[in-house]
Amino acid sequence: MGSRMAPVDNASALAISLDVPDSPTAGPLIEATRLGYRYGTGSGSFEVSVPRLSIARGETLAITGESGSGKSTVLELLGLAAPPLPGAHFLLYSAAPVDVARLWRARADGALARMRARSIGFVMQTGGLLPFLTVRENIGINRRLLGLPAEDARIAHLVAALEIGSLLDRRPAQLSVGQQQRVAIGRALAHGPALVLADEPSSALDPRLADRVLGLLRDLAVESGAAVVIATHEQGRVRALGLREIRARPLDAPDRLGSCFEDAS
Amino acid sequence: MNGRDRSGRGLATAFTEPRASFGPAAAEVWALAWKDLRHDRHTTLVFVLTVAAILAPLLLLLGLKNGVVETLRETLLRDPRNLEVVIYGSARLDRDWLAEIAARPDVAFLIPKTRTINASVDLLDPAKRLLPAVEVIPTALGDPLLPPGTALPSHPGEVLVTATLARRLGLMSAEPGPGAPASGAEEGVPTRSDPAALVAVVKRTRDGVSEHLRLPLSVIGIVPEARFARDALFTSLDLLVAAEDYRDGTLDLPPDGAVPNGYAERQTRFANARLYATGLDQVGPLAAAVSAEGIEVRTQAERIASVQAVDRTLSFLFRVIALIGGAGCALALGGALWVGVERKRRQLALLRLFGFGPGAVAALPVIQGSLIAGLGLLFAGVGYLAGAHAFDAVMGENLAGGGYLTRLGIADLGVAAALVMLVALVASTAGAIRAGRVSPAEGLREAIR
Repeated sequence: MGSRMAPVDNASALAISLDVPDSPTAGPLIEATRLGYRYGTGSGSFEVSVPRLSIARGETLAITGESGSGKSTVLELLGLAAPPLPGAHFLLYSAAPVDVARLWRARADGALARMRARSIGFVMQTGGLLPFLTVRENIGINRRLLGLPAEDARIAHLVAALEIGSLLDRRPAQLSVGQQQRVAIGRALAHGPALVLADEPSSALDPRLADRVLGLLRDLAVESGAAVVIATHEQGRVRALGLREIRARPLDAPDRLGSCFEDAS
Repeated sequence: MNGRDRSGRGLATAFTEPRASFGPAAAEVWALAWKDLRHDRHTTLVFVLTVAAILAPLLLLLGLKNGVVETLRETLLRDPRNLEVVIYGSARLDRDWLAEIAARPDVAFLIPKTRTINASVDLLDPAKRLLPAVEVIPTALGDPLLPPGTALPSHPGEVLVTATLARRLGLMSAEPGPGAPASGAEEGVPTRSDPAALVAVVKRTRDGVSEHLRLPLSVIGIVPEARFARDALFTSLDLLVAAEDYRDGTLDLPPDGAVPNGYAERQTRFANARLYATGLDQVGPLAAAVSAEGIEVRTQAERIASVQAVDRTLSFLFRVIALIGGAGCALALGGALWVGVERKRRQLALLRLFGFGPGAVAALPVIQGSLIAGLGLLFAGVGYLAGAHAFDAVMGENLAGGGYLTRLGIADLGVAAALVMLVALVASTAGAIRAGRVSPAEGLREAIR
């Protein structure tokens, strides 16, 4: 990481002053068992399975695996964006514990959307910004959705730490890929979510920039007390950061194709 | 125990999930819809112009249709006799019936008349020449045959004469002076010196003896030829009833020999009446209502029907063209919105992922469709003004009326705007359904694009 990582040094001091809606103290954020998703039907189907996963508040972990192993699908499941297969047990400790599997069974799209809006932030590999909004408007979209004020100490800190103050009135098309990813991190953290899900956030960047973006994501999330799940095929980079690793392996079933995600340790 | 505990907690948590107020979301959806349109301003402009290109000719056509029909109607209305329901022959109309008809909302003017045979008098002009059998027409406030603001006879000794009669009497250039003769006649004093003084002569034959009554009249005004083109006197009903009573031998005049105001009130039944409808469309129903009581009537039904037929035909043509144009507009706009949803699927998926509900995302094409349609209508309005100006400049001069061939009222524009919004809503339905089904997972799944 470069010398520009100064914000990390005083992170602990700032974290206290930032408003964190969900309790930042260590405790479970997600408890899930038998979480699964299946693409297609019959012999051509592909199954993604997470037998057991628990994520603590403020924890940073990585989901690793080859391209096509289903890392993004795990993020979709954790991000309340895709319905788990029947039999799943999935609790998300938001302000209060919420039975996510039950909400899916009830097809409570609205309630799931509200939970995503309040508790989750997303960072996509590319193109996670809306082209018709300025950087400032992109960063503030979840805050406007939640009725939060447009500017506060959290936003000021994020803008300073991500060094995007001069880009605020530009549109995504006018930014480099690295700048876009920094803005995406700001957007994901702007509303103080308890969980940030990042799908290959550094894969489109050159190695030096990739390290910097990953470091910024982790450090700013740790500061604000958000748990971070980074899906990536770059195992080396994850290990360099010393993250807990959930790794994909082929499914232990003779009749089905798929991936099983389990703790690598 | 454990399972029960867990399901109990699940129940509690799933349904105590706070339903946060999402008022800000609605404002944000509107803002997103508008900013997206503004960002794609060239595409948006094409759609707006497409809508305007369909709407502008429709507005012009509607304006022309209104203008043609209104011009025809005004031509008819310029002659108030087109509004008259003529009661034919002699009827027996009592005061209750007359009051009932007068109270109808489609009646503009009603005044009873005497029998036709008694509705004329011989006139002696100032030079003592006799004009035989001059028609006498009862009049009162609101008479459609008289120009608005005409001074009416204030007592039975005052009359208005038509222009043709005025010429025969040599009064046409003379300024009728209502002041002195009016007061003189009221006192029963003949005012022979006044040039506008006439004498009505009513004749009767009783027991084989020819008798006549002389009633002094003063002319207080002239009815223009455009209003009534024959010789006639317009006067109060009192004079007519008095003449009829004299012929019937029942006249009961006071000693001064003048017909008093309100003389007609003693009459309880009349042979005829002058009846006018409030508008062209009311003539038919009013005539039908009167003839339903066994009274024979005549109207200018054919003239009115021809205008109404033109109205119906042009309205039908307009509706067919508007329907085809509206359907084309809906298809064009609907297709554009549908393609827009497909093109922006990833962005819609991102919005779903960020926590916008399916309804909010479905609302985006609806809002955009309405904004495009609204802007299109605005552009079409400008096009209409230009086209209408050209029409009026080229063809308006040939019109007898105000020179406005194309006409659109506020009500027409309101209906047009409502229909355009309806078309926009229908058009955006398909796109809205498609947008509402975009899965939030697509925001992550199609990461590389």
